[in-house]
Amino acid sequence: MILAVPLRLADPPAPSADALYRQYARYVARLAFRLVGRDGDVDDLVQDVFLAATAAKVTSSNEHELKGWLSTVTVRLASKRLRRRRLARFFGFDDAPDERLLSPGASPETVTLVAQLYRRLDTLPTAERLAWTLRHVENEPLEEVARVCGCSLATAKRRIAAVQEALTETDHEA
Amino acid sequence: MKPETLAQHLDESRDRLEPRWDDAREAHVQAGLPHRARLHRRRRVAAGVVAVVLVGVIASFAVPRASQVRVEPIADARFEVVEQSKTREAYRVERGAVWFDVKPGRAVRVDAEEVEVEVLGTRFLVERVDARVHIVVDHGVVRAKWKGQLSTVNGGEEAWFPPREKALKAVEPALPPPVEVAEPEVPALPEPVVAPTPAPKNPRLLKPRTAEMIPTVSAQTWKELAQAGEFERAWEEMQKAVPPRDEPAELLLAADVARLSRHPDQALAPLRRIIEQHRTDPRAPLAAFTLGRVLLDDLGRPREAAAAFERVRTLAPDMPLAEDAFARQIEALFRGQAPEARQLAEAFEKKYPTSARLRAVRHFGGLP
Repeated sequence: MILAVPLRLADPPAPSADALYRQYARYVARLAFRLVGRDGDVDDLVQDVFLAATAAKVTSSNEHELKGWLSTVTVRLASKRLRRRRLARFFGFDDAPDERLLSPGASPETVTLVAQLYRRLDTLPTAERLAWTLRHVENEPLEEVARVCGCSLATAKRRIAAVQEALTETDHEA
Repeated sequence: MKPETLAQHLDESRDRLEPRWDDAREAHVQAGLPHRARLHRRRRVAAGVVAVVLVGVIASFAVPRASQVRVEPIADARFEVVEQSKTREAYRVERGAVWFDVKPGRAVRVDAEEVEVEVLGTRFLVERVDARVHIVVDHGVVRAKWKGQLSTVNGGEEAWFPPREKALKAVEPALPPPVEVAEPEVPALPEPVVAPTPAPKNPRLLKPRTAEMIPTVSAQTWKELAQAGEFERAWEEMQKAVPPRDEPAELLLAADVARLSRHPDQALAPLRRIIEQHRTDPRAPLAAFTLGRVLLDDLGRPREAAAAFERVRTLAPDMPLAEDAFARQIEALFRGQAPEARQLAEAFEKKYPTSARLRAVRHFGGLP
């Protein structure tokens, strides 16, 4: 669950960089993974998020605020990475996507569908993909999706609907 | 896919949509932060002086990963990152056994006790056993220096420092010594057809070094460990337990454990069992697809992989998986230098004209 709220600075005592990492690395890794759908991209994204936190001199100790700030930065950095990946794919340089995104225990049908879903998301515009993922995978309210994506509510709705339509068209073709 | 179908599957799978993340990986990523910070600084300078036309493509090459080494500690092993720079990485194994998978062209050094190991693109294990060091090389070549003496350890070989007699020899799979086992509690079932027990790759390497053997745990434990994502431990326990039942779900799980604990050759038997003996089971196409991936990506056997992917299309011609299997079959034929790749690529193009895999298929089929 993303808690995107403005970061109120200077709330001592603030966690050290190490403590911030230890406390939130797993949270950031999980969000990063769900946004980009590739395990191989997670390490770099996590590092970039915490380097940004160090550079921004995050000083809040409020968990709600910290998670909101970290998730907003994660979405922004994931967006850059996804755009680069789309361009690399255009030139035939993309790595093969992960086939198994789910931990064991899920039914084979679900495993297959989720892998197909992420492959289809890879072909869609990044802004639309992120909005849809935040809404339907992370279960964020529309207002939070708009806020984290930095767009209006109407734009967020339009992006989500565009992805939903694209996924439905895939089903019809199949 | 239908929105309600997708929503239902997302609801079922949301909690399982997680990266493979454990304490070791978390520590490894944290250790790479200073290097990545230096990389960012260099990138800011470069962006100011270089005119980039194809920004995305060049950026994707200009941002190397923080590490070109995949580090996999076994059980409670402990290691330390000593150095991470643009040209080399260095580690120290402090306790237990750690696998290092090094990309070609990357210089890596691993220290343990008084042993220094230098590699350039290989996969090897370094294990500390009391005051001795054990090195096993999966593939590639490793040079180890001990007390001023250099030793070369090739793929499939192992070495001990201080050396045992005949220290450098090929690794032979050894059966674990028999242990007293408690009968696992299993529900009364009809007599199962038991799948053949996969030969352990090198179980000595994976056992924790304790003064006494750990007694065998119940047959359920390896499955519980696998469900929790602890595949290395699940592999260890699976060697001690009764073979997996001849039932698709359990065979699939056993294949996952073998595959994800770096024993891909041991995943073949359970997967083939599903395809041959349970071909009408809805999981058979997925087993065939996974078999193809293991053969192609992990074992480098493209022609067999192509046959496995073709099997998916036979078992489930109308499933969405058939499209992916077709694409991968063409890729496997390309990698096996089979001439029929082109013909199949043309067939794929006709059947799936809007496929997301079309560009890759055209490349593998040699189509314009």
